[in-house]
Amino acid sequence: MATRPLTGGSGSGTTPPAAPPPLRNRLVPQNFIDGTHNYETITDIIGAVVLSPRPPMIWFIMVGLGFIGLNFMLLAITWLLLQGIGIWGNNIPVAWSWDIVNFVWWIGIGHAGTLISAILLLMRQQWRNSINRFAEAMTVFAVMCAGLYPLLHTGRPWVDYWLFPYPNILAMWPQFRSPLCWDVFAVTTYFTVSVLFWFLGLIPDIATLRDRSTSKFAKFAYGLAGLGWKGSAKHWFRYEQSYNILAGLSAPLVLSVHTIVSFDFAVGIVPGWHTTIFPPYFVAGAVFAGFAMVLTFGLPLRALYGLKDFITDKHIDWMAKITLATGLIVFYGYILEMFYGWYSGNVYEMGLVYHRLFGPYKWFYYALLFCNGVWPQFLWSPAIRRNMPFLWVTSIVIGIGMWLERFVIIPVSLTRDFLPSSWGSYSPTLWDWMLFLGTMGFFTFLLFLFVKFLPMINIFEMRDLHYRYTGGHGNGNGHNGNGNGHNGNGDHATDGEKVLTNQERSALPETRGGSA
Amino acid sequence: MAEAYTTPDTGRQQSLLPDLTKIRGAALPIAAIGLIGLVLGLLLDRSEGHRAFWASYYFGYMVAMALTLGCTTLLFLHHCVRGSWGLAILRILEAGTKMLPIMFVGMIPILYGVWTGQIYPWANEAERNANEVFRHKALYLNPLWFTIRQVVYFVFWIWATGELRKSSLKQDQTRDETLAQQRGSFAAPFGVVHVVLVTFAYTDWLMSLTEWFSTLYGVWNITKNVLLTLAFSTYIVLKFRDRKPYSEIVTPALARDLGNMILGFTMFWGYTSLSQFLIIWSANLPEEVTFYGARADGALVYVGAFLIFGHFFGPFLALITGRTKRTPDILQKVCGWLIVVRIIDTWWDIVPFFGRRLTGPDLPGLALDLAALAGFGGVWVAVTMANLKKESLYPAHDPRLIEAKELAAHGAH
Repeated sequence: MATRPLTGGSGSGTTPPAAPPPLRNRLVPQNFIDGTHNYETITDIIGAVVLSPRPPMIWFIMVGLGFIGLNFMLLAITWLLLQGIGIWGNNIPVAWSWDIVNFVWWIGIGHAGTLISAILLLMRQQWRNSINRFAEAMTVFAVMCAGLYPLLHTGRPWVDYWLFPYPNILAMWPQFRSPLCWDVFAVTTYFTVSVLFWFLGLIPDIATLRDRSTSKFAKFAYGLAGLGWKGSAKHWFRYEQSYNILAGLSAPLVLSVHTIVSFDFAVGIVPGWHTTIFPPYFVAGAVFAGFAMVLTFGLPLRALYGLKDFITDKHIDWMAKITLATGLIVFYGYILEMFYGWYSGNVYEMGLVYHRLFGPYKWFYYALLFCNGVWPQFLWSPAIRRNMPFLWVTSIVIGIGMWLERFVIIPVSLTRDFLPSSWGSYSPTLWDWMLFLGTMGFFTFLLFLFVKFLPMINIFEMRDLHYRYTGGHGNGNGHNGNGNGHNGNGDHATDGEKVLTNQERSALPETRGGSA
Repeated sequence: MAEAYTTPDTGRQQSLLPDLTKIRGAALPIAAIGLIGLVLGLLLDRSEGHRAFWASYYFGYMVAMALTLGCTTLLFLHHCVRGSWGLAILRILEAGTKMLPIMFVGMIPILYGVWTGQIYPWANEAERNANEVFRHKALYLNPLWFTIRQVVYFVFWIWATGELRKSSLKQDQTRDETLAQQRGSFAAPFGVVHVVLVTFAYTDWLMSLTEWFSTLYGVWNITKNVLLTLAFSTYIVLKFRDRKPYSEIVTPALARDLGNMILGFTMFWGYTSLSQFLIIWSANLPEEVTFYGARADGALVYVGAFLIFGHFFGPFLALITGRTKRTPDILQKVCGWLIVVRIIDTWWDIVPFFGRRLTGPDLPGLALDLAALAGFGGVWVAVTMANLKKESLYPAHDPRLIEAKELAAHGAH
């Protein structure tokens, strides 16, 4: 935190102005590919993760653990279908508990993917290009995990289609004034658009894998999934159009989904649920948790597969900054909840403040403040943002903290509503644990399958980035993003590369993900 | 960044400075007439505790405060993220923050009202004793604490914006790029402090006028302030895009960025407004619905309905199209419209806190509202334009603007 006077820079008002460095070098934007690369090495390195015959041992371990978790999940669901939701710890007054906590937690995790993919795309932030694919995959898998909970929570999942308005003779019709009804539409639309967005972005890379794979089966499978992609100008044109439309659809969706989730609580009158800050606070919390999860999985994968040239320290630094910024918004929400709980003068709101601070669940609240309010403040330090093990631990702490936040909001608030006669308590059962851990396994299982069978970094976007940086001279001897050529610190590019001036850069056609 | 606008070239070589002098010259008499009208209103006001006067005073003061704090928030935001959208308007923002000491002077009558038991029910002993909620809040809402908080807010804002301003101006001279990094390191943590302070400031200034409370109110007001300021500063920049130096630095790309910012904040205003309304309407709790109850009373409900369309749907539909952002004349008109609706929304927010409605007996109060708007608005514009003239009209140190200027000079694409 800089508190020194801002005018205390190296210059002084009395000295003559220093000559600015040459314009061209100052204007060269930051490069997002480190190391020495050309088109071929980019494709080779990213494609090798998929096409190498034998994945590393750790991949088998993770898939194995995920598979075990998946089986726990299936077991928990089977028993639930046989016995009903009485096997969970839910009770009256705590009718919403881990099922809804986990729903909100998972759906929040998905938000980082859409934010990176769609919103950063619309904002023309090119740094998204190496992290969007795998974050989008996380979105899809997280929404799958999230969707399970409310579907099972209905108690009769075999009639979940009643949630949709369809002509019927049962006189069944959704209550359109309820946010729970909006959730059905918001989450299903979000899932559909996220899957389409993810798959559409994969098509050119799937075609690359089709062309590079040697096994007949892989050629057939990738050929089928690649939808006959030829890379023609017409294909690219249609691709760009569709991708931008889906990005435009995704951006409001990502905001609306968690806003509606927040309405599930805020339109009620239970103290702890009913507060007007919830919509933006939930959205910020979702992005906070989502970025933490991207770091939780992204940092080890980056190290494991040697992808540091593509997911650079700069990417990690920016993700950490976004995590910090959204964490501060969340912390601001905590402060407001406490302050206005007291300020309201309402006995039930004040009771909520007391209950959180001194009630039987106070340690959960303290832990949440520590995880989401105190610990992320380390991210102010650039040294911490560069310290990958510490950052990884931080991402896990935040993941725990965001789960605790939902726990404190949902069941803990329900344990104390108005009349003391309706107060209660809550503790989870073995089946709650099993389902929760099971969805974690399911998520891990899907994510590692994705890593093995699809390119986790967008190959053609990285090549496009390389092209934009080198102006089409990218098959020379490569460039050194850490050296003098590319980061605007020196005077020349390395051999075989041409660093564009901004005038030249302006002349490049504007493609998705960036303007020149 | 592409080339500058190709506008009719009549004024391209003319400096903006004489225009700023003209604006200041026009604003000063308006301000004088407004302030005289406000004083006359005070003398003629026969309402209990001069509530009619205070309602108008708050309205005018809060419009000027919205611009001042909007400039402050955007200044923090710009230095924190270093977005190119802020380059052309940076000096306007800096000039706007120079209003802070004058706004503190405007706070003195309010402090007088607080210490004499006017304006706020919690500051009036009889009302406080009769109301359990205000007795409960007395720990926080009492004249001494209120005054101390105002001093803290203004000292912080004046100090922090002064530091950012000085650093930016110094970089124009020295071209020392470490200053930009220092401003980023400064703006991030102190921007967080600023957001918290604005939240508490609006709780003090407006929310505490009644028993009503809403956790979203601070964010809502920050959004409103930023939107008004963006509309105002973009309007100025586009209006004088054929004058030096704007003719050299205001490019379609910059205007598009500003248009997108305005679109974003218009959407966020709609989002926060709808969220707050929906949550309060659904719960239907007596201590919360008072806010909307007062604003849906009589003809005020039509003002609210107008705002839904005039403040959200109209600007949203206009700004969502690329043509609006590409066409400076249209964007300028949208900005002008947004300034008007922001003022109406501020009126709709504030005046009902004082028990005013749009009914027959309240109508003369509208004249006083206009006087307050002219007074505070006139002072704000006159002082800001005068301050704007004192420094370079754009941050000459920024390489992105240097580039834009070079491109414009060479007519390059």
